Amino acid sequence: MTEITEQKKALPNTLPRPAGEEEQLLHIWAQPTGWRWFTAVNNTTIGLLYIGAAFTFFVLAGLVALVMRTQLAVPENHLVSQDLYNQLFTMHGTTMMFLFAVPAMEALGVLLLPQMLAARDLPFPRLSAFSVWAYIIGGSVFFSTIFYDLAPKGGWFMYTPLTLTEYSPGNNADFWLLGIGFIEISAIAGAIEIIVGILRTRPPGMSLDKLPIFGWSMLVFAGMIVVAFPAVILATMFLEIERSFGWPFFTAAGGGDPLLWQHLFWFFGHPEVYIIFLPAAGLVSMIVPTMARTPLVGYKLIVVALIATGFFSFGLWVHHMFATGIPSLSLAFFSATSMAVAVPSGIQVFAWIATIASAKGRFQLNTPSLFVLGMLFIFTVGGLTGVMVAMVPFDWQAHDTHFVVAHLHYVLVGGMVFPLFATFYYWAPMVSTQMLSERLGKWTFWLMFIGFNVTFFHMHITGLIGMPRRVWTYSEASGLGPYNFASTVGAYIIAAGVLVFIIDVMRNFRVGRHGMSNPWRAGTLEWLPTDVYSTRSIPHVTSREPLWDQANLAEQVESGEHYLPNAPTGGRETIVTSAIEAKPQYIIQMLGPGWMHFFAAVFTAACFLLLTIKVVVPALVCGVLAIVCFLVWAWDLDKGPAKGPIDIGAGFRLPVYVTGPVGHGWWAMVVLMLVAGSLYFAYLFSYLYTWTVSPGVWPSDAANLPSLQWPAVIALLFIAGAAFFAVAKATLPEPGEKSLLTPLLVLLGALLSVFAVYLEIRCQWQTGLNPVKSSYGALVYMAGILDGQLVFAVLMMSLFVIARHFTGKLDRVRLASLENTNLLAYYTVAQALIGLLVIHGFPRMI
Amino acid sequence: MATSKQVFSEKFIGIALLSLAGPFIWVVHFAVVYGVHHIVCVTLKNNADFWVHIAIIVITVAALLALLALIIKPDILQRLDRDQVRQETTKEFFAGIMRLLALLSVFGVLWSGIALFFLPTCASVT
Repeated sequence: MTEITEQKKALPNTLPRPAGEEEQLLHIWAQPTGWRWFTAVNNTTIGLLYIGAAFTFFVLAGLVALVMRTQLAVPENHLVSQDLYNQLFTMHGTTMMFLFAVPAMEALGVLLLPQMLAARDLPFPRLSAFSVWAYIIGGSVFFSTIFYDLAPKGGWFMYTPLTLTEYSPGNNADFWLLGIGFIEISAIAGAIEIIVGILRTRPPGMSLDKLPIFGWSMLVFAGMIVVAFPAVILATMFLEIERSFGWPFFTAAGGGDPLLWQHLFWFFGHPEVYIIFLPAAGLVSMIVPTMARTPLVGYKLIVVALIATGFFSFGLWVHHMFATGIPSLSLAFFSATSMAVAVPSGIQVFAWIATIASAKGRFQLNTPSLFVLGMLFIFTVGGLTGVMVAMVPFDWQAHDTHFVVAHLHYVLVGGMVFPLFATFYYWAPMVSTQMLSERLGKWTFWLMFIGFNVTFFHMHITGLIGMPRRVWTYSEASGLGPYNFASTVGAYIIAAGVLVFIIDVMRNFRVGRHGMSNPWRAGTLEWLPTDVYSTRSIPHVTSREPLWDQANLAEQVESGEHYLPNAPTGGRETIVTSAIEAKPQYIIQMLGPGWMHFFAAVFTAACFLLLTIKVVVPALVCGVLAIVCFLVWAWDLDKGPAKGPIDIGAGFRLPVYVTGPVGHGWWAMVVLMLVAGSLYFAYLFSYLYTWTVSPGVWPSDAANLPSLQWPAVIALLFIAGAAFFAVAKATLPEPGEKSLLTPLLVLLGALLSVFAVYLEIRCQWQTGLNPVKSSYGALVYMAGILDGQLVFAVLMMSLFVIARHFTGKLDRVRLASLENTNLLAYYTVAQALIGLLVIHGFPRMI
Repeated sequence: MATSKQVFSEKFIGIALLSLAGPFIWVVHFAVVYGVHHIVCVTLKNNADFWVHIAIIVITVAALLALLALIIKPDILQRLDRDQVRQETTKEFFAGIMRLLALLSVFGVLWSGIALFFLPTCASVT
C-alpha cells in the first residue's frame, strides 16, 4: 500500500464556515456567458475547448486518410490526382502530429491537472486561453488550405531540397513553415504553463513522491517540448528565410546541406513520438489502478521510466536517417539508443500488467479498461517492430516502405489514440452530467480495435513485399491489390468506430457536474466534489491515493475544512507550494476572463498567416497590435502585495506577493530561457555541422574577418547593458516614491544591447560578407537575428517596466516585472557573448 | 499550529540535477562520442582510426565509472544536497530515482561504446 508519511490530526479549518463564502467563490469563478464566452479562462472551459478542437482535427485528418485509403483500395486508381494525393498525405501527417496529438495532450493537461492537484486553476490561466485560441485560429486556417489547392506537398517532415523554392514554388510550403512554426509557439506556451503548474500549484503535502503519475508524465512531456520544439522552430526559420531571401542553409551549391534539415527536424521529430506517448502512458497509469482497485505496482520505476524515456528519446534522431549515408559507427550510436529506449518503455508495460495481475480477478472490464488492454496489445506490437527498425540492416530493407507505416501507426495509435479514448470514457463523468454509454463504448472499442488491425497489420506484409510509402497508386502486376483492399476496409471500420463514439458524445455528454462525484471509486483528487471554483477547499494530502487512504476527505473538502475555503483577496487565487515538499509558500492572485489574450491570439495568427502570403504591411500592423495586446494583458498580472498576508488555515498566514526565485513568474521566465537556450544550441549545432560539410565556404584567412576590436567592443556594450539592468534594480525607490534614475538605467541597458546587435551586423557587412552567397554568411547573420529577437523582447519589456514605474506600479517591493526583464536581459547577454566567441573565434581556429 | 513568518524556501535545482546525474552523464557521453567521431572523421580522414578509438574508449570508461559510482556509492553526490528542509521519505525517493536512472544510463553508454569494436571507424557500410 502507499506510504502515508504525515497524517495530520487536526484539519486546517473548522466548521461552521462563515455564511456567504461559497456564494462568493461561485461569483468570482463564474463562467462568462453569451458573447463574453470568448473571454473565459477557467481550466475546464479552456480544456474542453482545447480537447474538442483537437478531436475535430483528428476527425478531419481521419477523413483525409479515408480518401487516401480509397485511392489505394485498388491498383491503378484515379480517384484523386497525384498532386492532390501529395497534399493529402502531407496534411494527414501534419494535422495528426501538430494539430491533434500534441494539442490533445496539452488539452488534457489543462483539463485534468488542476483537478488532480486540487488547484483552483493553472498559474497562468490567460496563457492557456491564448494557446488554445492561437492553435484554433492557426490550425483552422492551415487545414483549410487543402480546399484551395494551397496545402503543402512535402510530407509532414518537409524534407529539403524538395521543399526549396526551386522544387516547391508557390505558397504551399510557406503555409506549413509559418503555420506550424506558430502552432509550436502555442505548444511551448502551454508547456510553460504545465511545468510551473505541476511544480508550484500542488496541494499542501503532495510532495513529488506523491505526485500522480499523470503529473510526472506531463512534467516530462512539457520538459521535452521545451528542449525539442525549438530545434524545429529554428529549422522552419532557416527554410523560410532560404525560400524568401535565398540564404543557402540547405543548398549544396552555396555550402549548405539538405541533411541539416533532417538533423534539426528529427531532433524534434523523434522525441515528438515520446512527447505524444508519455502523457498517454501517464493516463493509463491512472486508469489501471482504479480498475484494478489497487495502487500502481512500481510507482518509482515508472517515474524512472518516464524520465529515462524523455532523455533517451533525444538520442534517436538519426534513427530516421539510417539510409542517408552517415558512417556506420555513428549509426550504431543511434541504433544503440533506439534499443535502449525500449527498456524504460517495457518497464511501464510490465508495471501495468503487474498491477492488473495483482488485482487477483477484481480488474473491472469496462470501456476504459478495454481501450487500455487494446493499447497494451497494439503498442507492444509497435514497440517490437520498433526494435526491428532500430537495427540498421533491417531498416535499410524496410526504409520508406509500408512496413514503417504499419510500425508508426501501431506505436502512435496504440500509444496515444487508444489511451485517449480510454480517457474520454474514464474522465467524462468529471466534466459531464452523465457518463458515456458502456454499450456504445464497447462498440466503439471493438470497431476501432478490429478496424485498426485489419488496416495496418497487412501493411507489414505489403511493406516487406516492397510497397513504398507515399505512392499515389501501384500496378496491378505487383500483387498488392488484395492487401490494400483489406487495409481500406479496415480504415472504414475504424471510421465507423469513431462515428459511434461521436454519436455517444452527442447523446450523453453534457457539460456540468455528474451526480456521483467519484463513479469509478478512484483514489486521486480529480474525483473530489467540484464546482466552477474547483474544490471548495484545497486538501492536505498525505498519500498517493488520498481518496482511498484519507477517510472522509471528500466530505471534509466540500464542507471547507481544508485550506483556503474562501476568497480572502476577493479575486481568483490558489495556493503556491514549494516544488519538492509542497509546503505552502504564498497565494497567487490570478487573472480572470478578459479580451486581451483572445485578441493577442487573433493578431498573432493574422501576422503569421499574412506573412505566409507575403502581405507584409498588414502583417506588421497585426504584429504591432498583437504586442499591444500582450502588454495590456501583462499590465494586470502584477497585482502587488496590498491584500496580504492572508490566513489559509492551520495557522498558515501567507503573503499574496513574492519576488525572486520563489515566485511563479520567475519560474516561467527560467523555463522560457531554457527554450531560448535550446534554440541557440540548435543554432550552434547547425553552425558547426555546416562547417564539417562545407569547410570551403568558411573564411580561410583571418584578414577576411572583422578585426578583434569589433567583438571586444560589442561584448563590452552587452556587459554594460546587463550592468545597467542590475544597477536599475538596486535604485528602485520605496513604495509611493519615484526615481528618474531607474527608468533611465533600464532604457540605457536596453539601448546598449540594441546598439551592440547593430554593430555585430555592421562589422560583418563591412567585410563584404553576404548572407546570400554562402551558408557561412547565412549562419553568421542568423546569429545576429537570434540575438536581435531577444534584444527586441528586452526592449519591449523595458518600455513596459518604465511605464509601470511612472504609473506607480514598480518599486522596491513590487518589482516582479523588472526582475523578469533583468533575467531575460542577462540571458541575452550570455547568449550574445557565446555567439561572439563562436562567430569571431571559431573561424580563426580552423 | 504552524505560523509562517517568512516564505518557506527549498533548493529545487540541486536535487533535480543530482537525481538526473545518470542521464546527464549519458547525454555528455553521447554528445562526445558522436561529436568526436563526426569531427575527427571529417578532419583527419585516413588517420582518424586511432584518435576515434582512444577518444571513445576513454569517454566510455569514464562515463561507466561515474555511473557505477552513482549506483554503488550514491552518498558521494547526495552529500551535495544540503537542503535541511527535505523530509526523509523524499530524500529516499530521490536517491532511488538517481540510482535507477544511473542504472538505465549504463545500458545506453555501454551499448553505444561497444559499437566501436564491431564497425569500421569512419566508413559507411552502404
